[in-house]
Amino acid sequence: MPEHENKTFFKLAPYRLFGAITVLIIVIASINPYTYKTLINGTALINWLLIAIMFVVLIVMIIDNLRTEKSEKEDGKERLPK
Amino acid sequence: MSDIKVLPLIILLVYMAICVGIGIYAYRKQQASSSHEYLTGGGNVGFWVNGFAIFAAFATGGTMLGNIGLSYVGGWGYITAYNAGVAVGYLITAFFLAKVFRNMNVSTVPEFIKVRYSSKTLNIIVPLIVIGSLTAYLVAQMKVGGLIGERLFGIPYTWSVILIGIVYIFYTTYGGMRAVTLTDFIQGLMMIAVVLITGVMAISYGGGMGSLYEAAQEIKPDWTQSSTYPFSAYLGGFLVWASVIAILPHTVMRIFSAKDEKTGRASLSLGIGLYIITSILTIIFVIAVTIMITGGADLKDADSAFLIFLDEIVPEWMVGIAYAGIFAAVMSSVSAMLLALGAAFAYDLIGTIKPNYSDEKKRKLVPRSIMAFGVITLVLALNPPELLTLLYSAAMGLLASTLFFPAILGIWWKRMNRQGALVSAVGGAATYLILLWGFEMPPLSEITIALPVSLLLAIVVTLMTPAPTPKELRRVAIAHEREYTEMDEEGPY
Repeated sequence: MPEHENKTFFKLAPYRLFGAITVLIIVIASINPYTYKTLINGTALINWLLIAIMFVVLIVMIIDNLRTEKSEKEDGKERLPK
Repeated sequence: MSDIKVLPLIILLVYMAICVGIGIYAYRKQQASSSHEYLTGGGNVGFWVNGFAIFAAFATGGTMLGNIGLSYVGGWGYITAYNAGVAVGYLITAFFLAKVFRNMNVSTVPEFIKVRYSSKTLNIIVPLIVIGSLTAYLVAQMKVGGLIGERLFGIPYTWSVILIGIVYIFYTTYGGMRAVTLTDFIQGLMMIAVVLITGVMAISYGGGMGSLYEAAQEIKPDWTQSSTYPFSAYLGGFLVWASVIAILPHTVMRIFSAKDEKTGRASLSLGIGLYIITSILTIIFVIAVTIMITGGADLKDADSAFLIFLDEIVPEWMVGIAYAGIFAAVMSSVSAMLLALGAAFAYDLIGTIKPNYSDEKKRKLVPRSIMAFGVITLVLALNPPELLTLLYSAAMGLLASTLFFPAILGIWWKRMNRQGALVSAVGGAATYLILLWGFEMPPLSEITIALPVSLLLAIVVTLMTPAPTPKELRRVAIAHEREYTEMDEEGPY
């Protein structure tokens, strides 16, 4: 590994970077003093958004698993002798 | 012993016998295995078993009783902040840790710290913090088990702790990760069955989700609001769990027990899926019915909220299974923790103090240290120290403040070096403990300061000191692309 490359970051798969940033944005938008104070039909907005965070995380993780499976299958096909 | 409940006790004894049987089976399967195999169960566990085991290891007795009680007392939003943090923690583990840890062929988080930073000071501090945190956490879980045994089955506290202790120390010591995984799988099945049945019963009792929720809200309006705890407590609860999951030894070890990295990540998704179902059904719908039963009155003991529901709504035979399920939740967590504790001592700490210790000796030492820590925690749980509650609540925050950034940055930032990791770990831990013991702060909110301090110290100190050499980065660099093998130990990257 060249010396100048020693200061950067290791490469993260684009989907995971996108997924992690999406979740981070949702977390910041969900957990803040405004959502904490706001009530919707008697329920704090933050409560519903916290539930939403859990489902978004689950969906992002499931898509990641499916994507990995798909890309591995495609890799396998490419390696098959013609 | 006069109010012993016979049916629940029979179900419990059958369940305990199954656990012991699994311990014997796992022992026979792996008599000639290495220490790595003992700690990973041979690394061939499939998706379903590993997923349920992840769920069972994380969902403790606290999840089954404490979280439900906390929802009743503090509103369902506060405990949902914990659970949303757990979900994000699993995402971080799956996306940022699973592949590299697995490819590096390391069995524990302290072992990763050891091979990434080669710092003797860190190699001693990190296992000690893991041992201290897990011991406090484990004793607290044992205490919960003792109290549950006393309350649910009518067994005196001391005998209840001894019963749990003997059974789980036996199967963890003799069967290693293989036994822990199989018992966790059964425990996970029992727990999710209890959750689904009670959840469906709660919803049908209330005449559907919407009407049940509205009825409970009308009786106890603060249950759906955020007025009980301050905002910083919500943020702290979320951050503690979002950061600690990634470095919690008994969760991370599941990545290694899966048959491959992809299965490890997929089973993390299954584990969190089951946890979300449990979270929503119990802390919203079961508690909504409990509120209807109690009329929203203050409870003398918040942890009894779920038991009130069981006694009033659930048929007696089902109550027996539910009790065993709650007990299973305690045992699945303590066994996984005990394994991690034994590994931290024998594998990480002794491995550092005596670098020439052979794998054969480590393999012998790991079960012995598991047995020793099992007995120590059993004795401590019989007469829990007063400071325990404080240590227990600090344990997870301390682990996260110490290890989260040294681990994550060590995996992804090439510039991260041992000086930065050391100062980040010590600074994060010190900040957390000073805030915990020196200041009056809302529950778990210390981490909102300790974690940024740890990050800041990691960046500043790393940039002020020399970058790691390509040789030092070698193993982690290879692990980002493929599995690291013994043949990679020599030669250029």
